[in-house]
Amino acid sequence: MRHTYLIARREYLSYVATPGFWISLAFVPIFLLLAMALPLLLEGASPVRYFAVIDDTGHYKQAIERRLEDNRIEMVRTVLKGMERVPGQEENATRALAVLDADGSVGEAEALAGQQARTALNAIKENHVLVAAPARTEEALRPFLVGEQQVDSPAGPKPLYAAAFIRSDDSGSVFIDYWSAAITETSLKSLINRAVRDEMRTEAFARAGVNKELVQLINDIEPKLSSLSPEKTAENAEVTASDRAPFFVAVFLAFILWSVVFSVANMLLTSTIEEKSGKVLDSLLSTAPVRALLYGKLLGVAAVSFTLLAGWTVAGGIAATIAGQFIPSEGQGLSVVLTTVADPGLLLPFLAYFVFGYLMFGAVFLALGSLCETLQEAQTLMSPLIFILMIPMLALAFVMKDPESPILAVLSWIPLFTPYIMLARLPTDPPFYEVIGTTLIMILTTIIVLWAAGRVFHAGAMHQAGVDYFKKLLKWRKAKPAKT
Amino acid sequence: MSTPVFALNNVSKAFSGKPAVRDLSFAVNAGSITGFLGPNGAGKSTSLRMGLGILAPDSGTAELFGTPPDFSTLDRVGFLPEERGLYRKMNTLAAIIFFGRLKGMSAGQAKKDGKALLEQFGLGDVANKKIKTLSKGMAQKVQIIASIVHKPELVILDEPFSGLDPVNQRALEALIKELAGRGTTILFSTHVMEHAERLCDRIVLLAAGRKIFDGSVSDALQTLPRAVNMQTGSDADPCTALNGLVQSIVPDGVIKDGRQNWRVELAAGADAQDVLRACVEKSVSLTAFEPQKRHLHDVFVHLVDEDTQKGKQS
Repeated sequence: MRHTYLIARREYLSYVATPGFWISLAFVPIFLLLAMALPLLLEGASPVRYFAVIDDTGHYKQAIERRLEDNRIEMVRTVLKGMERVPGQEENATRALAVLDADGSVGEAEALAGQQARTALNAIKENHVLVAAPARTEEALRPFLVGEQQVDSPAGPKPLYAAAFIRSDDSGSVFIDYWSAAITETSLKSLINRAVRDEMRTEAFARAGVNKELVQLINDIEPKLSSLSPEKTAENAEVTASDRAPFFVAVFLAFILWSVVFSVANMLLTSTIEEKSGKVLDSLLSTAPVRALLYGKLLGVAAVSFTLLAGWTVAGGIAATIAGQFIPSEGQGLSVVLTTVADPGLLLPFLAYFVFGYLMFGAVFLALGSLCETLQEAQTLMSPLIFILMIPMLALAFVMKDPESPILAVLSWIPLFTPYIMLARLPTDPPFYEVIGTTLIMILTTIIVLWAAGRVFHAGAMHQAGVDYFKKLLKWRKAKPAKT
Repeated sequence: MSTPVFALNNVSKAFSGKPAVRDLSFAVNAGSITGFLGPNGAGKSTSLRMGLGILAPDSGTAELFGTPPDFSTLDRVGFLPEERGLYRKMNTLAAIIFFGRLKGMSAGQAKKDGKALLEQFGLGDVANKKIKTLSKGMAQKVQIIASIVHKPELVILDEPFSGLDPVNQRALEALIKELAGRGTTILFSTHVMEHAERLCDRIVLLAAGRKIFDGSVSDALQTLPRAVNMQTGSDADPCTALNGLVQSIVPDGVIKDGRQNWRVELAAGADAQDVLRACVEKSVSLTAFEPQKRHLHDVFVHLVDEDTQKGKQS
């Protein structure tokens, strides 16, 4: 025990005392925050795009202008709805929304909104601004489109981002030639296309004698869909975000589990290679049993991963508390997620699956590390393992779509995949025999893997085996004479 | 008779069917310095590993302090492996404390004794430096300290002199003598005979996995015939004069300036004085006479060659 403890302690401290560990600890919360903030940042960072419309038909340009105005009103409405949930801003925001819904007057709504709402509304940027076309032919507009000349805009001379030529033929077909140097950006092109398409349809309805308002009214018809669960009482049968949370949280936890196991198994691999190439293993072998080296390293790195998980949980708790104070709705969402994570029905299986998933892959990576002197050597042995590890990752995406798929049920019985897939499937209440059966096979496999890894690790550590260990093993099996 | 602290009893070990050690037996008594000698690939490291229980022998047994090796007996042993290395990112003192604690020391004691040993080796100023910043010689001394910090009763050093410069080799010899002076039993392997000749009470010589000699240094030297180098006038014939006193007498080179050099190997029981006397009595015109001192190196080469010849014949 002394040897195992000391080796685990050294292994743990060797990671925790490095800047890399703290970067990893901070990386996941930062990554999640970035993932949430990135769309907003990208939107905020995108410049205002000035475009011109040369409309030979004479009436689609107005449709595009109306669409731009509608978009602006929708953005103002979204901000005001958000402000309705901010303490102290509710009353002003509700009044401003009422004005906006009544006559669509953005100016009046802005005047009625509170100071905080006005600050938020001022921050709204119009991404696309329609300007007067400086010329009416493609050839004459080309210098503006390639940035050689600038167009007049409300904000002064600016480069022309795009120009749309709209024309129709005798049959009534409408053609849009969209000119822009930005060939991959599609949002403005789609906006123009949708505005013209909707106007064309409205005209077609009108030609057919259908009233325009009636078309709008019919388009707005939608059923009131309620999602109900038979497992809840009749009064509270409606499925809420809290009911759906376990499904998403389970998949999220399975993903976290996979990421942590993969990361820490790699840590084990590299540290073992370092020890072998640095000849440290030779020194350790006379001071501690091989099993103590194996288990000590596994325990030390397991402690590292538990520290990471605990750090992320604390960071999540702090984020939920902070978010709850500033944005009640976001805070509530995070609270629901954290409450679901803390549910023993999910948390305990997560911890158990972590232990077995980690031991299986950790022991294998450790054994492989003991056979190699360099990372390059390890890569040749690692490739098949990486492919195997990718399978549950792909399956997790499938769980989101159809958690009760028979394919997932089959994959759950493969012990290397059990921790990830069964964890993600738990909220769907899989049959009891599946839970028990897959768990028993997983435990048995873990014991066999640990035993086999111990043997390979011993051979590798003693320099009796190298990267060709498995090749030799296969040859030996083939050469072994059959029993008579 | 006291129980040997280290013993191999008829151990054999083969790797992939190729024998590395064959039916080897030897024992190391408490308080002695034993040299475990042999050419590269003779099976020295494998034998030491079997003795420590790191490798299981295919046949035979190993004993440490009279019992099969386990980690309670290993705590009484300090081992410096041939393939040496320490955690490069660890501080020097921390590495010594780590290995001391693995051997059962308390953290405080390991720190205190580790510091004292670092000072003794002139490494006090690198106690808090990372191993990777040390020179090869310094790192090797740190590893030696790490293997003896727990004051083991038996110290096993596998090729301890390799990689050290002459100054550090001398310092290591001094340390081995100091440890032995304190009653520590020393077993070290080497293929450099000078160290063994200066340090050992006893040597075990291994070739191709087999023991070919086990005894004291003087016994080993006795296995070689004594020799004399001499020079005579070109007309002299010492062969007849020395008949019965020599095992062999051969001209060494060609006649030059009217003189001939001879290499003379003495017969058992004869010494250089007998040869000199015989030359004088038989009026052999001697111009030079130099009795040769025997070295362990010559014994080593002689015994290994002899064993190789035997192997070829069998």
